[in-house]
Order: sequence, then C-alpha cells, then structure tokens
Amino acid sequence: MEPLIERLKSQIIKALKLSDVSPGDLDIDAPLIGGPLGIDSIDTLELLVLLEKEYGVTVPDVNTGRKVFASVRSLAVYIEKNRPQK
Amino acid sequence: MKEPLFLDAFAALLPSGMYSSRGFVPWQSGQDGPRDVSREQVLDKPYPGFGKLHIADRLSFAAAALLFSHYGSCAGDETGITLGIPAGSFSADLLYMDSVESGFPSPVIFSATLPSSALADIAIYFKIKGPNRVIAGASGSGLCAFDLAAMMLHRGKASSMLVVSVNAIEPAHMRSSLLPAYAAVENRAYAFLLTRKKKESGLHFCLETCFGPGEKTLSERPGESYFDKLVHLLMENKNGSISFATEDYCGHISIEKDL
Amino acid sequence: MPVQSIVLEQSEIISPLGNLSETVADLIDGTSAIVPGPFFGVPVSCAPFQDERCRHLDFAASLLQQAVDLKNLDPASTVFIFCCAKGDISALENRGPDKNQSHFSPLPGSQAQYVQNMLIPGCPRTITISNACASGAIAVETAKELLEGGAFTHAVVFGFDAISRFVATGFSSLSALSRAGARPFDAARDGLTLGEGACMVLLTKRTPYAGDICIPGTGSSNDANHRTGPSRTGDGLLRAARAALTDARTIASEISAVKCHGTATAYNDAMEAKALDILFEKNIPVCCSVKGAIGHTSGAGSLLEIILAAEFLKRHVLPPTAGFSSLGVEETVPVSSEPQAFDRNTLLCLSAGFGGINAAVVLRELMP
Repeated sequence: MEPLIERLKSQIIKALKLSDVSPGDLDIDAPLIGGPLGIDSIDTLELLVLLEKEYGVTVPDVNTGRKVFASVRSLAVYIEKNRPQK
Repeated sequence: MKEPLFLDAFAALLPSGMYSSRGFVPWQSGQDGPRDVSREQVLDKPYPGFGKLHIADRLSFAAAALLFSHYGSCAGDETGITLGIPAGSFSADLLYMDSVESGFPSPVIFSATLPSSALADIAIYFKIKGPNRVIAGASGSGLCAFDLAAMMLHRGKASSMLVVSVNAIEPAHMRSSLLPAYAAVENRAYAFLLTRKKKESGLHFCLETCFGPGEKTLSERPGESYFDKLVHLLMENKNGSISFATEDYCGHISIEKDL
Repeated sequence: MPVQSIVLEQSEIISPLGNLSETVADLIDGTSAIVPGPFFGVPVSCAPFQDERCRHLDFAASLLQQAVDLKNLDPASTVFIFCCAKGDISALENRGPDKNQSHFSPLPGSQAQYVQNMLIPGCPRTITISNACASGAIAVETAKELLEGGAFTHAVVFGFDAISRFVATGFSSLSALSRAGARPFDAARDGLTLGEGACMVLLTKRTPYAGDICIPGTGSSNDANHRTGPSRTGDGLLRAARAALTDARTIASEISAVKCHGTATAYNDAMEAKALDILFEKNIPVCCSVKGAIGHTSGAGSLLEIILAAEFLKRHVLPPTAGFSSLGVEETVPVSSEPQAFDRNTLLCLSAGFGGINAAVVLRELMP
C-alpha cells in the first residue's frame, strides 16, 4: 500500500493545488477535511472526481464519504478495497 | 455635515511590481507580473489554500493580503468589501468548460466561476463580515467600488470598507475571441482601506471624493489603470488629487494628510 | 417638505410560470413549473422558461421592454443596474469556429451595456452587480443608496440568469441539486432545483401615495465562512436582516410576512430557520418560499422574488410553498402548503448567495 499512499499524497496536492505543502509534510493519519490543509467540502467533491478519474472508484453516500475522507490512510484503504480489478 | 473619511492603507500589484507603504518591490526574475505573485510575498504565514486560487481570486486576495500585512486586522462586521472586477471570472469560465468537455466537471473550478468568489476568499481569510458588493461592469468597475464604499461609510453601514479593484486574465486566454473590445488585458490589482476610524498604523489621509455621471460618448478606455496615479501619490506620501473620465464616472479623488 | 421614499413604480418578470400576473396567479394556486430532466445531460429536474428563446438575453430584454414603459424617463437622472450571477453565457457553450457566436461575451459588463443601450440610451451610469445568488437584492440595495444620495431620481434594475450546460453541470458537481424537485423547509428536502428568470423594475424616489409599495430598508453582510455553503449558525443572514430593519427604522414585530430564500438544500433551510427564530424571538410571522414552484432562478432570482413579494404584499397573502408538506427544521417556521393571509403592511425578503453573501430587503405598502 506504500506506493499507493505516496502517489495519493502527490495527487491530492496536485488536484487541490495546495501550496506550502510537500508530500513529505502530509501526515497520513491527520484529518483530511477541516484539518491543517484547509480542505473544505468543495475540495472533498474535487477529490471524489479524482477518485473516479484515476481509480474508477465512487463513494455511494455522505456517511461513507466521511469515513473515506477521514485521512489519507483511510482513503488509500478504500481505494485498495474498491478499485476495479484488472 | 458628512463625517470625514480617511484613506488609511493601500496596496497594488501592477505590471512593474508590488506597491505598499512598505515600499516598492519589483517582480523577481521568472515572475511574469502579478499573476505569478507568491504567497511569501504577501503573507507571512503558510497558507495551503493560496495555490488553488484562480487568477482573479489570487490577484484580489494578494492585494488585500499585502494591504493587511502592514495595516493589521480589520476583522468583524464593521468592515465591508467592494470589489470591482471588469473581466469577471473569465479565465475560470474557460477552464471550467474545459473540465466539462473532459467529462469530469470540476467543483473547485466551478466555485471560482462566479465573479463574487474573489470577494469570498478575502472575506473568509480576513473575516470581513460587513456589507459587500461585486461590480463587474464594462468599465469603471474599480471607480464604482470606490464610490459605493465611500457612500456606505457616509451612511454608517460600516466603519471601514476594503476597496479592491482587479483586472485578471490568464495570458493563454488574452487573445480569446470571447473577450469584448473593452477588455483590458494587463493584469493589475489594487486595494484601498477607506475608514471613519483611523488606525495608529495607518496613513491618515483625509479623503474627499466626487463621482459625477459619466459621458457615454467617451472613447478613452483607461482599463482600470486610473488608480495608478493615486498609488504614486500614496507611495510618495504626498497630498494630491486624481481625476478620471470614463463612460460611467467623471470626477476626482483627493487625499490630504490629517495633521 | 413631504417625506420621499423609494417607490416600486413598475415591474415585469419572465419566470418559469410566465409573466408577473401569470406567475402570481399560478403561485397562489399552488402550481409548480418544475419538470423532470434530464437537462443538458444532467439527470435532475429544472424549472425552465416556457419559451426557450428567453434564454437569449436580447429576446428576454425585448419582451420586458414592451411591458415596462421607460419612454418618458429622463435618462440624465436615471441609473441602470444590471444584475446576474452568470447571465447569458451561451457564447461559452457555443465556442468554436464552427458554431454560432452569441451577441455577448460571457462578461456581465458586455451584457449590461447591451441592455442599457436598448432600454435607456444615454443614461449616464450603468452598474453591473454580480453577487452570486443575492445579486438582485444587492442591486436593489445599491439602487436605494444611489437614489437616496440624490445623484439620481430613477433606477432601472434588470436581472437575467438562464440555465445552461455550464450551470447545470456545475451545481451538479457540487451535489447541490434535487433529483425530483425542490422541497423548501420540508423534512424530505434533498437539494435545489435550477430555474431561470428575467426581470426588470423601475424604482423612483418621490413622495409615495396610498397603495404604493416602498423600500424603506435594505441590508447585506458576509458569513466569512465557506466558499459556497452558508454558515451553520445563520449569523450572517441574521445580521443582514437586522441591518435592513435598522435601515427601515422598523422592529421585527412590525413584519407581517417573510419571503424566504428557501432553496431546499439541507443547510440553507436549517440556517435560515435559525436566523428567523432569533430575529423574531421565536414568534416568526408567516413565511413562504417560491423555489419549489419556480426553482432557484439564481442572481436574477433574488430581484424576481422581490418583485413577486411586492405582489404578495399588495394582496396581503403569501402563496403556498410548493413542494412543502411537513416541517423539516428544528424551529417553528410557519411555512404552509396553503395560501396564508396576513394583515398589516410590512414584508421582509431574504436572499443568500455563494460566497457567504446575505441580503435583506424590507417592503412596505403605504396605507391610506
């Protein structure tokens, strides 16, 4: 899962155009939304687009979404579990 | 008898560089004018949200940040904002349509396609909660923003008003056939703090404004650069007056040190 | 010297239910203009113009020009204010060398210039207000300030917003849209329904006569909280409402009815209910939202709804809130699926927009 987490960190920073943040700075267990990165609910929706585009994964409802986006690690776990197998 | 108004702080991001009461700072090599302003140049603290600001939002935000960096906070419901933005959110519009055509409409870009999103970013970061107006007219939007701000102060609707005037289009979009003839393509952003209550850290210029009706037959299009002369007066800390004549406004803005 | 007021002289709208008198009649009757989708490829319901040609600003403006008589207006003493969230952006949708070009650049200023030249050639000031979904109310506030300031005697305020692929996909990407149709304040509400609208009002500063609808107060504020969602406490909307009441020298208990923003999103209606509860100290007068019938007509909508509210005030009745059946907010907000009559003569209009913008307008009928 390490390579996925590393790739995800870069993708999140790129998709949300986060400045003053490098992949090394990202704490994969820190809250993603409303945490130190200043990610709000619109950024979350943008991450949903990223999930679909890069990994073919969707989130069925808001409650699942809250758990999925709790941290970078929980996002990676969700992708691993739900991505379409090649 | 109208209560006196003051122009207490300013900042500007112009093709030549950045202007504020801290002095003039030219763009660094590699920076293509205001569009390349970096977070460090206007804000002391890291701000991860700076990078995602689209050009109109970024220039407006940077001008406001530069102003507050030497003036101090004006947070609260006694401070409002007026924003003049003739090019609207033009670049964000084109980028959003690209995302729609790619099959993945972007929520982040869409929320930047309202001209008012530039105002929102400033209000959120600097906690400005008072009355607000976004003026997206063909010409004189910045003048309108200034006029309406002064009016609101005279009527007691706020005790301070941040006036932002910005023209922002990405270089890639400057030749678009969708841009009307009136559109200026130089990127620039100004911020002025108008107030009934001066701050210790402020410039303390008494402000007098006269905004008369415009002349629709005028063909001169100053492209939102009419504030340049005001910026130069402020940089030199000098009393003086700027006059302007556009399709919607003819008049002057005068400043005089309050001794 | 008799006291002068800002008077609503004439107005006309093009809404998803038709012109002003058609819309008022249908609203009071409980008719809704919301129809199932898809629209522009998005699987949601919308409230579209009855005549698709109205999506073009020039067509809509020419219809409104026929309905509101501006010929005797002295242009020199008139200010023209154009308001929209996005306006007519058909040029964006049709871009490309092989497609038809619209008359207008997507820049609001270009559209404002066109309409001003058509309606009031030679008027010495055109202002374009683009404060997201509160544009109309903010435009009215601006008009009032300019008229009271003495520079102008008349203000023509014109609003226009249309549904497009741009707007439909955008709101859909924000998960803001209801699938089946907006249900303001209802327990089962699931989002807003896009509508479209064009409207125009002539405001004059003069001595009012009995029966005139005047605008004694306006107010605006910013939540300073989130790029699109409202503040959860309703604090910003409350401050805008209080500012309008102060401007009108009116206290909350004099308000007999409220035309709410009522978009039918989970957050807006909850926030608005909190603001109303505090403003009226738990004794909220009758309320309605028209967005379950004509949809959320965006920036133009907040002007269109002020014009409608003036009609409700003249008739002393709020229309039923289409889409509403059982209250889905914590506070006791008197919204109804039936018409609600009210006495006295003062009504409050509320609007909110993306970017935390809140605006309130007080309307008053001058009694004999």
